[in-house]
Amino acid sequence: MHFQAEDIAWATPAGRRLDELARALPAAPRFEINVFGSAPIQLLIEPAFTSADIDLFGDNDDVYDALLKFVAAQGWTQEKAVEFYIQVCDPLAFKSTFDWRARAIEAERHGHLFRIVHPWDVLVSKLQRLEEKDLAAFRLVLAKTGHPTEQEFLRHLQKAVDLYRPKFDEESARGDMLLNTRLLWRELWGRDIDPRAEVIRPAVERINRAHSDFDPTLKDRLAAIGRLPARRSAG
Amino acid sequence: MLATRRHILDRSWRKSRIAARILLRQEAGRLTTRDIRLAGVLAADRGVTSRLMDQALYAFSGRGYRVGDARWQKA
Repeated sequence: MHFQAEDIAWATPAGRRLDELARALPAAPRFEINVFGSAPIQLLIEPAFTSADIDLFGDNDDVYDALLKFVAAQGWTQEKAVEFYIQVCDPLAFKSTFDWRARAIEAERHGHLFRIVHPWDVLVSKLQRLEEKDLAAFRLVLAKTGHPTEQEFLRHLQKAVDLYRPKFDEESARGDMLLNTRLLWRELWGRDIDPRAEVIRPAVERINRAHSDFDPTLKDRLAAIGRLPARRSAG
Repeated sequence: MLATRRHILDRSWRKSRIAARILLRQEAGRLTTRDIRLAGVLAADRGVTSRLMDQALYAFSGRGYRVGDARWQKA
């Protein structure tokens, strides 16, 4: 499912706030800002899908610090904003498919670049938590677009296979991807799924294929040539 | 430190390309004494790997065909 810059609904609350942000930011340096959470769904799928905030992050620590200070100075933080605040997040906070950037929808606004995370990649990040609100996002995207289908989302989750690895002890309990995937499938597609068989194993097979897709006998063949009697042409 | 590492990687890649050329010459029936001697040296070199040789064969052919495939699949 493909989206483009023209699909972004700038007239939505999230769109207006982002436009306001872009207009208020100094012209230089040029910021590159990634928008995730519920805002991409509001911007691209359903304007009525409102949330209390816009989650965004820059591409590096400098942008993170600059945005944090700027948003606070504008009074758009959770503590100060009367409505619809901006949550500047650490880039490490967003976890989704490995290639989410390739699908993100990019749009220039007042000299700054906004990268709106593709709704399917937003859904993957929501699956790590899967509160009722997150489930509602899944239902909405499916109802409005008919996608992703079950097969499409299986394939998509394979690109996020690392999210199924056990968590570090230091990580806060954000939910269990294995369990959440089972819950999601029952809820959306009405069947039991074995995430190990349908997500993890196929993804690992793809990874292994990439690492072993070469002829392993080549060096043995080279060694065999090296053992040929010298001063003799062999074919 | 980085330069040294890059140098080592490049050397492995260069040697593997030479090794791959020797395999090609064997298939073409044009092995020389020097090829045979070099093959022995390169086969004992840890930096020369089947993976890099395979990549070199790909690079030489410029297409999806691999010289080693037929033999590999028959084995």
